[in-house]
Amino acid sequence: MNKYAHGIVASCLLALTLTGCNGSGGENEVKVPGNNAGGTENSASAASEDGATPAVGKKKIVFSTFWHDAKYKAAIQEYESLHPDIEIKLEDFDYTDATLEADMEKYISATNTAMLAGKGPDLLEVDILPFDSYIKHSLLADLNPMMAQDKHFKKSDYFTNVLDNVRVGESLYTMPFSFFLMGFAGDEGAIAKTGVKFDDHSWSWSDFMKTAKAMTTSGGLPSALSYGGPEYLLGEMVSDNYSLFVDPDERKAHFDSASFTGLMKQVKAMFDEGIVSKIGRGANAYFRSVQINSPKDYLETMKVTGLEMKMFAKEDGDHMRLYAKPHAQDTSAGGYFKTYRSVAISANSKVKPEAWDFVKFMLSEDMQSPATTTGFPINKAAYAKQIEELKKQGAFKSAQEGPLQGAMIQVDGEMLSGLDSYVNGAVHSTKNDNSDKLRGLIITESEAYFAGQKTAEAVANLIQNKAMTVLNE
Amino acid sequence: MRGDGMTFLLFLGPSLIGFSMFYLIPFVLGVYASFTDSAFGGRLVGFSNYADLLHSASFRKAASHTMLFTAIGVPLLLTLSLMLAVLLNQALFLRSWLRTSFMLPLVVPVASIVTVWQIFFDWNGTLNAWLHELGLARVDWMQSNWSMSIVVVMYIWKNIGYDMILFLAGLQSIPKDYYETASLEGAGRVHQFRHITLVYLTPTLFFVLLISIINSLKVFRETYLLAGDYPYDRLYMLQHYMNNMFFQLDVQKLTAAATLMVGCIVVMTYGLLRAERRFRDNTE
Repeated sequence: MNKYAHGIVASCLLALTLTGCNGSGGENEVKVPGNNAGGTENSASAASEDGATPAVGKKKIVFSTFWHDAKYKAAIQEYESLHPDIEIKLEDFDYTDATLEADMEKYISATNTAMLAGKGPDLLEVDILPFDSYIKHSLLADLNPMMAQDKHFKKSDYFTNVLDNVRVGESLYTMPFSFFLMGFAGDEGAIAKTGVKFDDHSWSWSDFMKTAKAMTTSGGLPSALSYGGPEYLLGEMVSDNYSLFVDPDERKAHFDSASFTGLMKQVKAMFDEGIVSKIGRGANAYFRSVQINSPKDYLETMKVTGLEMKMFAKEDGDHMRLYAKPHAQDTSAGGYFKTYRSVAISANSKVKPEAWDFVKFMLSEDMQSPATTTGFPINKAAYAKQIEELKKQGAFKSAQEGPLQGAMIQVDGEMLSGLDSYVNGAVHSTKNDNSDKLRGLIITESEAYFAGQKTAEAVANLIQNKAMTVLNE
Repeated sequence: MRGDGMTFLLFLGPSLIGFSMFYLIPFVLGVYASFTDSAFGGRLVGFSNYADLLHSASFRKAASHTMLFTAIGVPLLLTLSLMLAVLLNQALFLRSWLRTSFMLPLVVPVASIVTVWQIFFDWNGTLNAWLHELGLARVDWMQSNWSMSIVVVMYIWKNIGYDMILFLAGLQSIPKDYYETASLEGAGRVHQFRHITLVYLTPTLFFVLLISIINSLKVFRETYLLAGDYPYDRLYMLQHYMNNMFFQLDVQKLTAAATLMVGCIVVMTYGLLRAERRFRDNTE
């Protein structure tokens, strides 16, 4: 027995610390190991608990984040000077580059434990946290009612295409401060030469495949798309047709179907025929995947990709611009975004209204418009201001450590205006590969098929079995 | 006597406190948590977590794979380690060296060995390269029904030394005169083995069986390091399920599964100990 206890001690240890804390009762400060948040006590008076009583002391909001962000520090300082009755305690994790992964793990498990015990921070940046699990166990507060009740908050001031698409059902649990655009970069001139017409705002992957075939047969560049590898494209296409392969309510996967092996074969054929290629890093293809981090980054990235394209075809690469990534057949038309720096309010927080007020402050135009931080601001006015500033500037210096080595980049106003429709049209949220287990599975397992080592059916069966395990846990 | 009691407590205290702190109390709390809803400090919900758990097809799959593994691995391990013990109990060239070498897997850290195994059994690994050289079709060792045999081999490799030592101790406690008398009366080797060795080794056998079963439930570490959190179907065992539940913060299912597993082990241990007692009563 003693021996065996090893096996379950991990689970029980967790239980000990947590239930132990709860058992010892109420408001007592019980330190959860690894979590230096003391919970949500009032620093001066423990009496004014529910926020209604005028505070003698300050109300304290604990804000936990892994990444160090100067923006947070600045915002907190400013907010505290505007609201003398509020104290915001920023808890960022002390990580080093050398031990980053271990530090992240440490932060995640400490925060998980604290959240489960109901002793977590009031406000937390969820970028690296398993917030899906938090939502599943109702540990996060729904921000929608807070937004609706707040008369000073106008949802239309923000990019609702992003906000509405990070919802879970009807509830909004995570508030992104900024986002990236995920799309294709392509040279308008080179594409026009092929004479192929398409509407990238509404194309699905199968539309794209047709377009791609037409483009390569026109005799210009050898490939239509440069992509990491067939397994990634397959993963992408499965996520795009998710409902075709996975039925989460019935807990059933359909990867052993002919449509999945068909898709695998289709992807392989496209790579075999060179329509999609993983060599050449995009220089020899009409499209390549890009992530655009900000208006400034848009101009710079397009410049860099254009130069790379020139290495392959001298006359191309002068008119690079962003195209929307094809979307799934059974979802609505539009491009893709990826949120950056999202926060959530703990469902167990005693200072939810105060925390929301601070979030709102972080979302305000003044806080969001400085172009010093990465990401497109979620605030529309701040975005407009950034564009305007950039146009006024006329030119800016590229990143010193980037491929352009600090060369000046001219601001192309027309190009920036073209960005609008993409910023407003991105409606699909891109998840991290590792947060999406099934996608990770498909990517690792299908590699053997694309390398020609296993049959499509054998791989499909493997994926099917594992997918069923994941879905039925 | 009072002084004795104090000394007793003094010596036992530290380990008792440690045991309660890290094993007993957490386990009791875990059992409690398995009867509550949502995270911690939830309401009591009776057996609904257990119902959910048994409803989960993956849990049932994991449990059956665990049983299958134990059913294959333990008898094999017992047979092999007993054979080895009998062999090494005789005068043999380099005997003490051989004994030591079989103990080595116990002290080698698993993580360091697993990398070698991984390279060896990978789809593009060493073993398949050899097969290819010999003109044979390669086998996807970790992603086919072969995968369980590999874990069985690993389990045997890891535990054979330990079991062997236990058996050796048992063998050496059998008086030599029994064998001498038997051989004087003309009993053959097989006969001696069946009627002397096995009979007098039975108490040891029960103990080794118990330890081996419990060790077979701990093979997770090797499997996890070898094949990750979602291995090939056959390798997906109870600890995988619990591990994945832990990472999904599903404390209810996790504690319910752990409680259920402990329940089964307690029942099994009780049964084994009773069988052993009955056996001893019968022989005496």
